[in-house]
Amino acid sequence: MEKFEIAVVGSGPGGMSAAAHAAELGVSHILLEASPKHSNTIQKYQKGKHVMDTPNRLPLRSPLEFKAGTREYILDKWVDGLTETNTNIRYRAEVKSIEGKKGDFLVTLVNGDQLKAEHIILGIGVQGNPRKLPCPGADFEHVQYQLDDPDEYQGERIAIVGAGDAAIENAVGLAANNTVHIINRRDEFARAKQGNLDLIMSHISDGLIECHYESNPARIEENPDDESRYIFNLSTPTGEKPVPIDRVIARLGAIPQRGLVESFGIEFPNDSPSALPELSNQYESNVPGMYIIGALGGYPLIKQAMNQGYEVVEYIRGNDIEPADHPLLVEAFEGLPYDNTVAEILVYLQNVSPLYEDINPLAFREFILDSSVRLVPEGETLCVQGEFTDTFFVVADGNAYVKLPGVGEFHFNKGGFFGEQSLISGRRRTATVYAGKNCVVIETPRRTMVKLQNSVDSVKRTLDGAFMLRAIHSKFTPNTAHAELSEVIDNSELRLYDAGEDIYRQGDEGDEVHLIRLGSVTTIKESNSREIITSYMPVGHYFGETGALGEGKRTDTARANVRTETICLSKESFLTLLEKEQTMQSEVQEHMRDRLTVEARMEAQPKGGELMSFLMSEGLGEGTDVLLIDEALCVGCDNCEKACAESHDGNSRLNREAGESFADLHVPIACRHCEHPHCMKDCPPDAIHRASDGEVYIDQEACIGCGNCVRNCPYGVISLQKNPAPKPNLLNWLLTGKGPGPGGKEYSGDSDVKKAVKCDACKDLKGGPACVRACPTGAAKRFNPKEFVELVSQRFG
Amino acid sequence: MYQSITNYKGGRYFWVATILSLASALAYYMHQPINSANGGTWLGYTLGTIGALLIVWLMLLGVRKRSYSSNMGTVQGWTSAHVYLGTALLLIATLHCGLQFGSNIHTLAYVLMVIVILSGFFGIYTYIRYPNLMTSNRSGETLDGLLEQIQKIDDRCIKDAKGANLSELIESAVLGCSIGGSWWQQLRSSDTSTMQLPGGPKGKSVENKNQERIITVLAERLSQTQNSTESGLIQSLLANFAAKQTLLSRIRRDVQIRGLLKVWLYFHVPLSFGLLAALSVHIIVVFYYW
Amino acid sequence: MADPNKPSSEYKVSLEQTSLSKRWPSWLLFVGILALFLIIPLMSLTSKDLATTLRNSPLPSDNSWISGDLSPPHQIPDLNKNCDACHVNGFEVVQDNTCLSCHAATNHHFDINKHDVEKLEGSRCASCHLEHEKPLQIVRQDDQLCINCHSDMAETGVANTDLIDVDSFGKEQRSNRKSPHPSFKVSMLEPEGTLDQTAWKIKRVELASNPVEKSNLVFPHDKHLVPEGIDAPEGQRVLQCNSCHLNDDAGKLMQPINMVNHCSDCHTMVFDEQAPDRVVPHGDPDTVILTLEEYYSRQYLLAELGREPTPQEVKEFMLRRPGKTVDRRVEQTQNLASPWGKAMSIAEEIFERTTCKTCHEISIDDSGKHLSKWRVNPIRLTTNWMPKSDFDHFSHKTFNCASCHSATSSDSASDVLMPDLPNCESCHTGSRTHESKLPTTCIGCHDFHLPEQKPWGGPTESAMNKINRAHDAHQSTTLANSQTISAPSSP
Repeated sequence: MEKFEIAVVGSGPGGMSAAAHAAELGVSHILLEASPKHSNTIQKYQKGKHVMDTPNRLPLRSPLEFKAGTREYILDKWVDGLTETNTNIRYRAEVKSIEGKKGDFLVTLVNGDQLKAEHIILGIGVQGNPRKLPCPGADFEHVQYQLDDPDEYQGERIAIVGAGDAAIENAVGLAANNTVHIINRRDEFARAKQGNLDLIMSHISDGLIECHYESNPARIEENPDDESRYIFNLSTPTGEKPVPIDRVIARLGAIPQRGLVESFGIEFPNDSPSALPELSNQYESNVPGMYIIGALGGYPLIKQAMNQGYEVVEYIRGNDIEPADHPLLVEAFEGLPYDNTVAEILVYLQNVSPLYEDINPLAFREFILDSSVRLVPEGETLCVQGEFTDTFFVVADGNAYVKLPGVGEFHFNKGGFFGEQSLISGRRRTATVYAGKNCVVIETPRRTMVKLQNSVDSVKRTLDGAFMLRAIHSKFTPNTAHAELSEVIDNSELRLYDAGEDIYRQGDEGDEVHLIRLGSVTTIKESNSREIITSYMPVGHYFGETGALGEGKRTDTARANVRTETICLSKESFLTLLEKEQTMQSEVQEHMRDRLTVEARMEAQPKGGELMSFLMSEGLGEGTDVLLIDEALCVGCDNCEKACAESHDGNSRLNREAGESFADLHVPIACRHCEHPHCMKDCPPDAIHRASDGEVYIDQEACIGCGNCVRNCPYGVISLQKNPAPKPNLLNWLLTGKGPGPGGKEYSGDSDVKKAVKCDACKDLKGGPACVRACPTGAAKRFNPKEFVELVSQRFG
Repeated sequence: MYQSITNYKGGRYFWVATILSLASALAYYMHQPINSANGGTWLGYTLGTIGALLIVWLMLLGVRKRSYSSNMGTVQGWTSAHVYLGTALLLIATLHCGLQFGSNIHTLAYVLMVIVILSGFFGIYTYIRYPNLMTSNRSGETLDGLLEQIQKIDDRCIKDAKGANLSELIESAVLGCSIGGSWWQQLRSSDTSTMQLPGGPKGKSVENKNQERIITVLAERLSQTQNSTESGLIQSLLANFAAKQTLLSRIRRDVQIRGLLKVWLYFHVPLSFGLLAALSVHIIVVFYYW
Repeated sequence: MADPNKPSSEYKVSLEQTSLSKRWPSWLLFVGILALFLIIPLMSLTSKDLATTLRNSPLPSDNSWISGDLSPPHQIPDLNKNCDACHVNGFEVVQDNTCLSCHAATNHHFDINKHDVEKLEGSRCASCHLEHEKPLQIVRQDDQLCINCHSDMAETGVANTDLIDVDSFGKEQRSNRKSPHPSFKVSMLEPEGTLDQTAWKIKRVELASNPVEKSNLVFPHDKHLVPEGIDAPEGQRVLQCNSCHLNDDAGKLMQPINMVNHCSDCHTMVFDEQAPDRVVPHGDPDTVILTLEEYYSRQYLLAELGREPTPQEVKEFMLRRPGKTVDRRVEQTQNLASPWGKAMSIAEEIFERTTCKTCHEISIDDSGKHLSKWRVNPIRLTTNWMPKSDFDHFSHKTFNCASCHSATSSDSASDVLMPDLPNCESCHTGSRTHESKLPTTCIGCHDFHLPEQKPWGGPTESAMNKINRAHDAHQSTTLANSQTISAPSSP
């Protein structure tokens, strides 16, 4: 059987680069690619998508060319590179298993072939491979596993296999111009979002889509009398059913990599889905001779992966070259009061804080590159109270301090960290932090921190501990030393609740006090079997004290609006806290009285309660900046939409007329800028950010139009749009009426790239949101959920 | 939290307009013109200038409304000011001309102005009256939504019709169904639906107002048919047309209200451009003849 | 998303989809109005006859620019609807000389060459005489016209004038204005110089200071106005004011009083009961003496000749009049039997006691310069007491005279019977007061362009001459009406 010095699995940028470099050096190698084309993930990018070469400061080390350009351009270059270096690449070679040890690995492919290799380089990314149709004919030309643009296909008979959101969206998208069959293993669409569910059901009931329930693909055959391309045989409870088909699109999800990778013997630090295997600083995994590069190694960027491919081959060849990012680190460390080598400084920094203890050096190197390490002049502000910035700070040297009114300054010394509140709660900064004497800080962006939390348990633990301590301290005993609280902290715990879950119910026994650290909570009174929402509480508020101070019976129900996490204090802890500071007791009673009065008022106006529950049911509870329209004022001129389109790229990000209404209050389809934006969850190019004032926006340059955010947003406020052609100026239109007027749009031929667009609350406009400022009747207004109670009582008070 | 244009910022512009009007009225009373008040006295020129500037500014609302990135106040503020200052203009212009009218360009300008302002008053009326009615009528649906429902009902009807071999009849009713139409029909929410009677002369269609004719025809069919499947289909047809009936009335009402909310602008705007022209001539002439 | 221009279905359900449009009607109206009321009228400015054709066509001409009618006096074919008649050049105010081309005769309010008053600089005819306005009156009626300057002459820039500041008229004004209307002054004639050459000067005197008129006339109004009447040749006659005082033709002022029309019915100039048809002439005393001598000479000859003497005889007899020397003359005249004596005694009677003396001041002149030693002091009656105002008796005709002129209680001709301000104010008040009286502006009584009005009042010579002429006229009439004998040229 064939034997190679290096076997590269996965022809992503990293894998290709590695194989090509090996070819260059004349090292015997093979590049295994599961799909029929190389670099599958990038092939999936849209046509004409502009691919960036970030971090552009990072020099490229690879026999393959890579410069920012269109997807096609880059792919062509790589093909050229591969042929020039005549790299040995094998397509449709999906790896099934890898056994053996360094110097003697046995690689078995799905199709049964086997081969031997001394070293393995895994460049298989994290996307995973789309699950193939488990039936003959799965490889026919017109059987595909993704759909870029539904409008490509006209008048075809298309079968969609799958019942997930992706399948439904494709089916609905295609139904407009094609005869669509959707093939569902089950007898219902269980996994789909509500919106998609309604969509598909209505389409089916209207006969626009034919749905085959409880049907599994049996086989696909070329059609003998070709009035259709194929015959798609389905096995149904009532026997086989042939369906004439021109095209099959299978949306069966992807096979997660982790299982496969673990089967090679590689270990992951924890169970978090985004956890990554631990590597040596030569990318070697816990399995000697098995190296991991690219996204799976924690390097999502193309250029990084390509460099790693080059480097890892060098390492295997035994020459310990400086990584390509070395000059970057040199640059990053400039101006720091250390005259040591990069390596030394890295070690020094990693030992600064216990947080970093368990991070592997390679990840830490990456971590530092993502972060910024700098010497901050004394007195300069590091973060400002009330801002929505979400970076995380660790003091590497000197100190930083917070000014506490009355108490004086609180100092963060070497190793101290801050910013965890914004990191975890997704809320504004709770305090302004100033740099102290010769203060060196490591400032890390949220995304990197989250990655770290998920991959290193200790980090999460430490952060949570600190969070609880500080939250409780600042809320209840601002004037007490941290040390005194340790006992309380030990007796307190974090509790996580799903959206809509009851934290406690009216009438329950219970005397715990909850301090919200994530999400938001509404309290509900149940009077004669009707629920009335009596208050809305965002992060930083506490509730349940009535139980703790009273006879331990819950007077109302507390329900999580969204995924909510609370710090749960036992009655004892709470009371001890109150004893520590006399002033607190009165404050707590104050707070309690206020809330009871508000609740009483809300209770007095059940309609208000209903409106409140409506707003919550619309998911506004997790928003920070919500657009509401007073239908008693709205005259339907759509100037808000026009304003939105005009003040952006010509696409309106809001749909006034759509959306639910209650009591003359209308919730249009528009972004509410959630505390923890769903859209941010899974954005390959990390193009979605939160501005310092809290606006969640999409960086149009970076967006690759993958549509993940569109699917992830539960409120359907994001859409994929082409950029309309530029318009004649307003005066011109006013006079001649030529061209599209405000809100109207025309597309020019060259604008066929679709990108995700959503409301950015006009963060770039001085005057604030255009929709609100453009409303002639004052019907459109934006609110923070905190204002809901006032709004409601104003409408019904 | 919400403010209508009439009480925007506690009716800020109501007070501005009131003060402006009172000031003008006072000046007018104190003023001792050579023989009688008119545009030629110093007060006349002052009021005239104010009026002219007002008119130009009032017309700029159309631009401000569409300059979406402008930071010059909010459009609501502008609209509120537009309403109140526009009303004040009525007084100011009247004092300006000292009620001296004639059959000339100057009076033409005045008359145009008055009509424009009156049409504006109607606009305010609609803005106050109709939004509530519109929402209660649509009750959460969107117009497009309602129209889609109609579309679906039609599809179902045509499907059922095939089974009950009534295709010709039903299709004629579906195609003959009228919604909206000319601006006049929209405002009158008129219904000019028609259909073809079965066996009736080709191309000779009878009126089917409010879908009643088709329903009666179907009802008759139902009473005559013995075939159970057919009767089932006809029943569902009946049900669908009944549903369509109610949908249609809601749609027509919605279209009507939308129309009322907009139609006045089709007079308000062109007339104000006429006014702008007349005003320019007025000013040129006044200085041509000093 | 929702795009108004995109039909939400094949149905037309929004006005944007209908034939309605804002843009083209806007253009239509905008351009249309400009074309009709600017472009076309502008064309009519280019040529005269195009203008006329347009003005007579239904098309709008520059007449559509006329902001109001002309005042009636100007509504004459040449001007009416004929814009360029006055508006000669565009963008230029109507020039004075355009007005003067017709109104050349108009006086200025004062001699602008002598006085330059900043206040009035740059003021044009048209700054006061406004056209195309309602009410259609070409003459300014408002108080500002006068008050502007007269409220404070010093500030107006007229230094050391004896014109009094006036800023108001009527009660309320007086209460809160600093210079209300002053009480009246009258322009009264006063004799100056010798009896022979008397010059009459106009003197302005305040009525308040009860002026005394020195007309040399003796006339008690009360005696003439006794209700039971006065003895007239035909018996008792009751006199009314208008028995003597009659409106002049304009109906404003009163005609001058004269002896013949107004006095001579009763005041006959008979000097001999035996000859009631013989009167002395009204006029020059010397003529009176001659008349008397001639009469008595005739009587004397009649007695001597026993028949009517011929005029020739009378002439010759009269030439034999004694008195070559004074004492001879005296001795002659002592002798009442002589006609001369008789004539003298009668002359003394009528001059010093009866006929003349009734109405005239008589003074004696022994210088012998004149034939008669009695001289009648010359008389001037003031014809226009208030030349600076424009009082109209006719418009006040419904009132009886006494309500203004207290003649019945006046026993002397020297009384000035002109009413003072309060009398007017009993009915008139300022234009902007709220008394229930007739609001009256300055122009109500005062004129601006007074005929031949010199600065700061006072009639010009010509005005003076008029007065004299009037008087001479009155003289001559009286002469004409009396029998006269031309004085014999002394040897």
